[in-house]
Amino acid sequence: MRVGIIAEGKSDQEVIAGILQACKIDKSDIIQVKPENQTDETDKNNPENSNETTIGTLQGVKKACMKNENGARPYFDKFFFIDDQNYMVIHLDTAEIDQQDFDFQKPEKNNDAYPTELRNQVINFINEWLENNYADELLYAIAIEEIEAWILAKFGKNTTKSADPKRTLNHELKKISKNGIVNKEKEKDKIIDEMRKMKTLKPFLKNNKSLEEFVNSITGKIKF
Amino acid sequence: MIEEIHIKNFKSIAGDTIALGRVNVFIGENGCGKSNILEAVAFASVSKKYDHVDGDILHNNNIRVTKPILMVNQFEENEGNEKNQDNKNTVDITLKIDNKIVYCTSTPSELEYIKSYWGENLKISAQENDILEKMLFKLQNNKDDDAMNKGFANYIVEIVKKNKEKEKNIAKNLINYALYTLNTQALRGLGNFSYSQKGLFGENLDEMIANLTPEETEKLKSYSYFVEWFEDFLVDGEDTLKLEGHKLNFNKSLLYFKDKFMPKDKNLVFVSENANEGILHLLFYLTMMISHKTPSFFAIDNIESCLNPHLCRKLMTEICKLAKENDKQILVTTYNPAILDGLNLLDDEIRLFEVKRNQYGHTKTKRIKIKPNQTNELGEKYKLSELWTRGFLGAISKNF
Repeated sequence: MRVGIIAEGKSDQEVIAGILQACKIDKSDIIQVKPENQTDETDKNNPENSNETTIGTLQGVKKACMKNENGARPYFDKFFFIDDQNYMVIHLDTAEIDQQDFDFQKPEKNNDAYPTELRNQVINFINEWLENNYADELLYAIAIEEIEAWILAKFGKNTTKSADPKRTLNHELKKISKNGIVNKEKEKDKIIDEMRKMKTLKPFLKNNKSLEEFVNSITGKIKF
Repeated sequence: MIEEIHIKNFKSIAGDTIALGRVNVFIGENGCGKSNILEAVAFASVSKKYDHVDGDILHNNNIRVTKPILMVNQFEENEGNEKNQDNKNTVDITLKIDNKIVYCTSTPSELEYIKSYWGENLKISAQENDILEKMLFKLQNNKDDDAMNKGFANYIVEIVKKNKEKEKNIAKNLINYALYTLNTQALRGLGNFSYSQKGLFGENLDEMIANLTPEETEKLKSYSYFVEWFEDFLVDGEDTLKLEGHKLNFNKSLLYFKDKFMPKDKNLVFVSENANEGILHLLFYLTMMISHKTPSFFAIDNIESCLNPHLCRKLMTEICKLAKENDKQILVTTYNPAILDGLNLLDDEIRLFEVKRNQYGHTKTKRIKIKPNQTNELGEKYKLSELWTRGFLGAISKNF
């Protein structure tokens, strides 16, 4: 059994892959579907293509989910073409979902049910893009506000409603790193490594509702 | 046919089982352990062939040799690790051949000595014969001397005989297994590859072609359309063309070519040293598949070497056909996606495997199957080569 990941960025893929590993999916059974290197170096350096979305973004995830000009969804079609490739994770950060050219209204933030409501709303949004196809095969990695909030959960605070988790995580990493930027990245990698085992991931779950819901959806859906 | 291989404790393979077809293609990122799988079968083969296996014999059979302590799997024990608890320094290879089980258990005499002897214990399962022979003993010692007893005893004697004959063939298949890694210099008749036991680098191409029957030669020449310039080849068994100045002394090859664009009336031939490397590789593979003298079970490491992608696809299609026609079974590794486009994965005899390192570093194989009748709603189909290069099959590096 293998699981594909469609994520906004490469670093998001890495975090999600770690969580899947904690849920007993071997690293070698995880396929990074998007973002991918769609273009060669010539196209990448061609000024004519400067406006094209070649790297993963929220728009990139939407593009992967929507039908293309030929009426196909090549990322899904190709991944599910192979036997034993049964699940696809779709990742979205909610931070900018109402700021882009999407018709999306976030729920009231002061509400305790905010993370669950927002997660469900984003799931419905993704399903609209997919016209409710692949319902049994999808796992939704909806990070409220950014996936950095899931890493930030390491530091023992409830990070569910953290306004700027990327910045807060940077601040926390800076505190534990001794020699500037290189060590900051190393510390972040160490935390992601902790997320690869359920035993060490469990304390994170208490501190972030959307992470907990994602993990529960994996363990509830994937049967070994 | 070798139906299944189980490899335990060999190099990066802690424990893995592979259910084989007739044509088996292994893909995976660099260093995932593809060649180790081919070598493991070669290891079982030499264990059957020689009374005493040592580092030199392994090397001569194209197995990369290190200190024995590294030939046995040294990865730390982990979840899912199938390490042999009784003897961690023993390599176990089990092959299921025509429903018989061949066991090869091998332990080095010295772990730190590269030329160490490998003490082996290889046997073919004789369970069926054991039972039959016990029955026979009972029948032959039965006091009732009736005709039915005698008839049944004779019948069992015949079955036991047939089984033993079958075992001989099984052993022959395994003994003749060879792992080929072609080398352009060797194919051209240059360099010294004399330590190789069976022309494992392609150094015997001329001899292989000379040994073809007329029908086989004709079949080989039917593939001349693969190479635009090819007119004909000839093997100069007496090496007389050398005396006429067609090659320098150090070239050992007896294989010559004619180019269709050269004037026909001048008998212009050139030795394989001057042919392009692609045609030499092609001739080697096709000869392996066509000749009745080449092993019926063999492996080719990096089959795509020196071949144009378009040619890779066509070659692989023909190899699949020839394997069936001439009853050959092959193991192939490749890095070229075009090779995959020559495979019909809906045919159960043609199998594609991803070789990967799991999160504990152990080499594992996974058969890649296509869902039958799977197309998108527009009826579009996808090339395996594209699925591989775009990352949908796995078998690519994930770190960049």
